[in-house]
Amino acid sequence: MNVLRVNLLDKSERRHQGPVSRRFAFVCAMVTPVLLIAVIAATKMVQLGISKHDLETKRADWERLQPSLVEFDEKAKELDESRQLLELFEAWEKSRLPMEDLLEEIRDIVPERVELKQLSLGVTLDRTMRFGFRKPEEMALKSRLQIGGLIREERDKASECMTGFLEDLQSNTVLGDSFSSKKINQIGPLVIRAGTDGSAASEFKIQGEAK
Amino acid sequence: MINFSQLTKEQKQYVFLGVVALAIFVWLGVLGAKEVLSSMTSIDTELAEVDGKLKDGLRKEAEYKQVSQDYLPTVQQTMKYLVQDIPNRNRLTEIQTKIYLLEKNTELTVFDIKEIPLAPGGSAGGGAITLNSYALQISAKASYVGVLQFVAALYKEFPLVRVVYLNIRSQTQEPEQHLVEIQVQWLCDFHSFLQKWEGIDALSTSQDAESEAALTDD
Repeated sequence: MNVLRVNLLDKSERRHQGPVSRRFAFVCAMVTPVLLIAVIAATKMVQLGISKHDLETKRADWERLQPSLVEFDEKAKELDESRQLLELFEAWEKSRLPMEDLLEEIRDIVPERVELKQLSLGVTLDRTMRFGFRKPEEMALKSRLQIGGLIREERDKASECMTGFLEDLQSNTVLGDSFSSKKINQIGPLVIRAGTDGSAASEFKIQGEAK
Repeated sequence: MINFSQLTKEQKQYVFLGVVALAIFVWLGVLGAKEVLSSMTSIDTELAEVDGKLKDGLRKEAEYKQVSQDYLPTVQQTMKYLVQDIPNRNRLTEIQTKIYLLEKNTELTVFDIKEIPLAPGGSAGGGAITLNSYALQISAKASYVGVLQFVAALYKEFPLVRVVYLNIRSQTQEPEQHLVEIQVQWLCDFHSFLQKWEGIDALSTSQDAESEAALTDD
């Protein structure tokens, strides 16, 4: 049976029959994105503010530190120079031949029957050598050892004496610090000479080179 | 669902206005967000840069303080040697005086001191510092012990000196007295370093005071 329904309400007076009104749904659809954007924007603004504050603090720290750093850089240069200078001094110290120790050792090693005629240590200076040093290695000296003398013994005993003397020189630790033990050698054979008192004597020459 | 056709004319107008307002708002929001994001990116970059600089600076500061603290005593020790520098003028005379004074306390007789000219300058490479030296030859007469005493005294009194060559030759006429040739190199020209280094005035003043006090005591 058909029931006739007469709607007497005006279109604007009709109410929506759903769970929420059209007006509410409309307002929600408009306001929600706006609120969402506003919240995100506020969060970002706060983050921006914090970052700005952080930056200002760090900038201030940097401004405070910068003059000191310029000074430190200058000082660091000076420090490098003084470090370099100290390295040169250390190299100088190392390059000094321990003359006193070497002379004492040689004196103790020389056998009783050996008479030294000449002893030289080091390297002679000449015009080809520079007086200025820029690098530690420039200070190193290629020192040499030269010993010349007489052995007041008969030929056979003189050879024995010479061998013993050489061995003592080669095995000496103080000499070993400045000269290579392998490079301390006799130069030429023993030369027989008549001593001033008429006794037999053998002339010898020994040469050593730095390590 | 809301059916657009079912809305009243007034509602349709509101919807239209709302959509336009939302679009403008979203557009402004996007612009603002872009701006904020770009500012934040630049701030973050600058922040990272400043932070890096700061960390580097603080590390340098700490390192410098540590090094200078460790270094200062050594530098001061070296300064003590440097202030003994021989003057540029009358260098030979100055050294001769020092050597003759030294000779008095040893059994060695110096009869000649002369300069050995060397080639100028150091090598082209190396650092900014150049140490200069002055070379001279001492001719003397002494016993072996005398040579030993002299060399020991020379090294003890003058740390900036090195004996480069030593030659002892015996004489037939005087077997106990040998002819001695000593070549030495003397480090010099420290005036530039002395001027640079801080505290030298105080150091030399205190040394002068010490010397004066020692002289007064004598």
